[in-house]
Amino acid sequence: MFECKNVSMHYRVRGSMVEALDGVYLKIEQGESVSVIGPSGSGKSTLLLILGGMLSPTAGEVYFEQENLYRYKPDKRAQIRGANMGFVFQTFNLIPYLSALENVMLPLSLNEYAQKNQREQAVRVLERVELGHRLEHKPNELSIGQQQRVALARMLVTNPRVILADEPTGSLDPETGKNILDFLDELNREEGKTVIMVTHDPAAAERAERRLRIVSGQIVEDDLVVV
Amino acid sequence: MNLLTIVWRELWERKNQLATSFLAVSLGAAAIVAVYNIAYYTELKVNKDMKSLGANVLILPKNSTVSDYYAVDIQGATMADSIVDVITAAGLKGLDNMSPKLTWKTDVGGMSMPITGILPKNEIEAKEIWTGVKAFNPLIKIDEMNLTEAETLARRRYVHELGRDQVFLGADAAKKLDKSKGDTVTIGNRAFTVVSILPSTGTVDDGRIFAHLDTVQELSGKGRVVSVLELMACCSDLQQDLLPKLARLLPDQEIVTINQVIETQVKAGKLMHNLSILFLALMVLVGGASIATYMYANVRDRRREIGTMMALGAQSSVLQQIFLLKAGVLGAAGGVLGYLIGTVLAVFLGPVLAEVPVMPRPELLLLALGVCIVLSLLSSYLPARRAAGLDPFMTLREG
Repeated sequence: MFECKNVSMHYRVRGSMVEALDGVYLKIEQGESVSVIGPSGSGKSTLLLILGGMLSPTAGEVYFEQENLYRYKPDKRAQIRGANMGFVFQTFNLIPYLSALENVMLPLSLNEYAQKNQREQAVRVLERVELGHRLEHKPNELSIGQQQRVALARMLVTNPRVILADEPTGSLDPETGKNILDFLDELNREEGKTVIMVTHDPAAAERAERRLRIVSGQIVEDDLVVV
Repeated sequence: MNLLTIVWRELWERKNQLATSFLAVSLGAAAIVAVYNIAYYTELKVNKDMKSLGANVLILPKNSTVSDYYAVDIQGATMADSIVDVITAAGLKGLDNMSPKLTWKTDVGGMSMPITGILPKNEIEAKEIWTGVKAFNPLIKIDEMNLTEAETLARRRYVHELGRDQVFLGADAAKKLDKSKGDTVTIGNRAFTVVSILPSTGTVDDGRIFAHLDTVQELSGKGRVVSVLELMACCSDLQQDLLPKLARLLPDQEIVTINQVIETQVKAGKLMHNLSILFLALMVLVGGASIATYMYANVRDRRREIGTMMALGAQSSVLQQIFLLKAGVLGAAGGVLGYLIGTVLAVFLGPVLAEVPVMPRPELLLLALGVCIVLSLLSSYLPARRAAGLDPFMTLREG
């Protein structure tokens, strides 16, 4: 599904060069559950954004379904992302002025899904994350755990094949975090969705079938490959 | 849910942030609407004032002098009446009415009295139809003023219909001849019916007898000539190029205007025109800068939101649409409010500043909407492009 060939990413912050990724080779197949761990600033989130077609690497090639992702223009990549990928963020990134229902309808609206089906689809996924009774609540009227569940519903509403999760439990208490991880596991096992999750939490990382450790922009440990 | 819903939710949630730009656009639109509204009614009033004077342009035989506006045709000099056809055929813009006159003094009932031949309006209109040229487009319909034919002749100096055996008598003439409406007056060997007695005007017209132009031409034996051609020319056209056009058309005639009236009108028109340009420029500067500043700040504040939308699959055109839609809504709301404020200002300030009663003009809503929406969209174009071109990586990491 994904293949990175010698991917490097350098960028400049306050005059000094940061090497976020350095010659990464990586293959991820459909249906895999992958956790990416490593110290802060090691390049985990950068890898996630590059896989999501949101950050053009300085060097190397990234393939999604045998297509060189960065040969396409940003709008085409956005289209591929909207149709195949779902993002989950540590801080949820819900739109504060939209209700839970509208937040979930947002990707459908941005990707020009038929308006008549939007509400029905959004209600279905909100009920799945047990928030059917909170449809009209704004994010600030929901608990942290409920907010993350709205974010999961928003990610799920377009039925993506790949879930890219950036520290999805980082802001949650252990119990709520566990529920979220259970849910991601369920999506991976029962629906065959590919889950790639960046995390600092070793316990969360252990739940994945495959663990990648990144240090200084390089994959130094991969369960499937001897590095 | 569509993009407009997203825009509306955001606008409503953060309405305080855009209050300044909204106010700037609304007040700019209000100023333009007020000035245009007052200018319109000022021009109408000037037109009415000019009409109340009768003709405002006189075409006279070469070398005529104008010592008395009302007696200018009694000097004896004449010119061919074909100039009526020349002007009608030229189809000059801005002419409201035309009245050719021939004045001849003769003995009536033992007294020497001026008889003025006039061509009724229906015969001038017949000429228009005959030539196929619509020469006269009155800005104010005289018929709507509910004047009788006698009042029209006394105050506007023309009549709509007049038979060849009919006359109007000036107030003094009627008194001297001891005639009233329906009586018969003999001029030369012909008898004429008195259609009506004119109300007193305090001018030499009070001593005149008004008959059909053809009749006076016949009676006087002067042939197809007129003493004067009175024109009612309208306002802005009079300011612009109507007089030079008339001069080119009639090189052998004197063209005299009521300068003071025209100059006043020209000054008022120019003042209003300059004011509206000034307000438009101010609105573009203040309103445009305010909207652009607000939009740039809005894009900056919403970087994380923009990054999230990109992560959710939003293409650059969709992001641009969101910001331009917002600008459109802002402009439309500003236009409506500006129209309302401007109309109220015009209605209340018109009588105070310009001494004219002002009524709301719904068509100015379109002007206010157009100006505000275009200004808002233009000012938001670059911020919207910036939003669409943001680096999603940076926007998501900044949070």
